Formats: sequence, C-alpha cells, structure tokens
Amino acid sequence: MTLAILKTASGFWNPLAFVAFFIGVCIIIFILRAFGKKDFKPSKYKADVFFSGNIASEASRVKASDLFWGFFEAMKPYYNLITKIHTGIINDYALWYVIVASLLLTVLTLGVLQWA
Amino acid sequence: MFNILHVAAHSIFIITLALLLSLLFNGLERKLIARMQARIGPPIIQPFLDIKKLFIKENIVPANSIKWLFNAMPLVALASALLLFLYMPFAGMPPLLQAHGDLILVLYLFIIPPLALAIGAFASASPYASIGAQREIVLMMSYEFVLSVVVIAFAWLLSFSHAGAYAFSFDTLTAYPIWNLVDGIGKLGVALLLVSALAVFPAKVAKLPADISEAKTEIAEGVLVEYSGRNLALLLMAQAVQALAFASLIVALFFPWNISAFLALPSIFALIADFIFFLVKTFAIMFASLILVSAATARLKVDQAARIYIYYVFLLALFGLAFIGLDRLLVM
Repeated sequence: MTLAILKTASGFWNPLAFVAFFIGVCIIIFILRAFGKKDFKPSKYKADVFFSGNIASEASRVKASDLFWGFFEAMKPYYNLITKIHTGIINDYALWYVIVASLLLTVLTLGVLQWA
Repeated sequence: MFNILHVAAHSIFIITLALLLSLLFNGLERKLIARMQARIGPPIIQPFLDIKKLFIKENIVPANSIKWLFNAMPLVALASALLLFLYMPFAGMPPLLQAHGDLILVLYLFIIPPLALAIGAFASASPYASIGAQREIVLMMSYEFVLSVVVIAFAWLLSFSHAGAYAFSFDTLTAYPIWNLVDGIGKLGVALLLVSALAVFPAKVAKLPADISEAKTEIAEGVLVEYSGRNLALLLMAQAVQALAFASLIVALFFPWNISAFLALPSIFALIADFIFFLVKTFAIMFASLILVSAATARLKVDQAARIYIYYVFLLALFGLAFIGLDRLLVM
C-alpha cells in the first residue's frame, strides 16, 4: 500500500487506497439503496418527461452551444476583447507571437540577471 | 487481517456518523431558517422522515433517459461525498486516510457530487434538468477559482514557514494553524480568505442565494426534477453530506484547534469534548454562511452568480493572498 503512494514536494495521494475505499463506500450505499422500492408500476405518461405541460420533444433540450451561457455572459468583457483580437489575419497572430515572446524573454532575462 | 477489519469498521463508523450528523444539521438548518422567516418549520428530524418516505416511494426512471447513468449518478454522488470524511479531520479526530491523500484530493472529491448530479440530470433527457445541470456546471466553473486561491495561499505560506513538510497534508495544516503563521496585515489576509471560502459555501451546496441549479419556482427543482424514490433519497443525502463536509473543511483549514489541548482532560473526556467542540464550530460556520444568508436573500440569476464569484469573491481571495504575501515581505 505504501509503495503506491504518489508524492510531490508538497502533496501525496494513494490511488489504490482511493479506489479501494471508493468501491467499499459504493457497496455500502448500494446495500442501503436496496432497502428502497426498486421499480414503479408502469402507467400512461408516468415515465414521460414533460415541458410546460406537453411531452418534451428533442427540440426542447438545451443545446451544447448554450451549455456555458451564464459563464460567457459573466465574462462578456473578456470574450468581447478576445473576439476583437481574433482577426483571422496571419500577420496579426505573428505580431502577437512576437510581443508575447519578447515579454517572456524580458522577464526571463531580468530573472537570470537578478540571480546572477 | 485484524488491521483491515479495524480500518473497515472505523470507516463504517465515520461514514455512518457523518450521514446522521448531516441529516441532523439539515433539519436544524430548515428549522432555523423557518423561524427566522416567522414560520413554524418542520421538525428537526424531518430529513430522516423524508428519506424514510422516499425509500417506500416508486423509483421512476424517465422513458427516454440513459437508464444506467441516471441510476448510477446518485450513488456516485453520495459515495464521493461520504469518502471526503475519510480524508479530512472530522469530529475532532484526525483523518483515517491521513497518510493516503491530501487537500488537493479533497478538493477534487468535492467536485464529484455536483458533477454527478449534472451528469444524472443530463441523462434524464428533461429540459428542466438540462437547464439545471447547465447552471450547476457554470456555477462550479465560477467558484472553483476562489477555492484554488484559498488553497494556494495556505500551501504557499506553509512552504515558507515549514519548508520540507507536505504543505497540502492535513497533518501539516492542523499542526500549524494559519493564524499563528502571520501577523498584522497577514491576519487580515487570512480573514479575507475565510470570507471568500464562506461566500463559496451556498454555491457549493446549492442553497440560497445560489440555488440556481434547482430553482424550484423557475425550473421545478432543475437537476432533481426527474428523480424520485430511492434515487432522490440518495441525492438529498449527498447534498446534506456535502454541506457538512464543506463546513468541516473550513473548520480544518481555519479553526483546526481541539479544545482538549487547552483543558488537559483524560482521553475519553477529551474525545467527547473535542467532538462537541467540532459540532459547535461546524454549526457556527453553517449558521454564518448558510442559515443567515439563505434566510435573508433571494436567488441570484446564473450570470449574476458567476459574475460575483469570478470577479468579486475571486478578487477578495486574491487580496487575501496579496496581504499574506505582504506580511511575509515585512517579516523578511
């Protein structure tokens, strides 16, 4: 068990212990769940899903593109800026590459100079 | 062999205690919120009665759902929520699996119950459940930023003050309470981190003002709408357990002291005193960040909640981190 512990400088975990205890707890809950009523008596409409009083159609499901709506709405200023920057022109992307690379190089040089 | 049996018995004791305490706290929370709103409210044992009733109700599975996923997710949600108590200090005792997992693992475990809830909701093929699941995921993406800053602040500080120790280990975190590692402005930083963690609490356990994934009056319980019978019972238990687990995490991070250390009691009395002290601390956390807030606020919209967590609470946590950093600079 001890051999299976994965360690870094500041943390550790044992995947084997995790899996073993997760399965153990799942078994306990499975037994607990077995005390509940297992099934239901089928009847008309009982297992149907409704949306505003009508049986829900495929069209009434949430689209994958809307999945993160609230997040995009909250981050609108950021996404507006990012969308504006994405011009689709290769020269602009190259320019961004040069700017970011030069910034990183500056930080790196300053760091090296400080340690030296 | 004896060791395995002992660990198994200890685990069963911890998860049973956690389950019972969670439901009891849930009942207390409902009662207190009702009293604050001038209602009589349900009896404190109402969650137990609800679970008992749900176990004798029909377990309806929607016709167009992915059945195995729909049935499996409540089990996964409750199992991962209960597993948290084996990795965290609980009821005044050190964690059973202290040597097998740290704070990072606990944070990941905290993500599983809401994620399982969202997957189960998507599997139900209900539009209301899908909207609830979508909101749950958005909310999760928003508050996880804050929690990561809180955890980084702890680890960063401990890596300075106790180099060589595992900064994410609960053993280290409880041995060196964060308040003792900082002075002046650093204490203000820790207080800001505490406020940020408390602000995340309602969203983490889907309570007002951040119960947008369920939103009874808008989307008819959202993620829970298609669940019934024993599946719903498991999900309600998972939510109650998660609330106690998050309160226990805040206690373990910010208030890890045990009262027996100050009173020099004999071992059995020390155990009881620490247990009672843990209950008091956990209740205080729940009262401050769940009960008071839930009784006094209305539900936020999903984009409002995301904005509050991404900008304001995140900034608050960043200020906390910055103040702790400033304190370290002043010490150096």
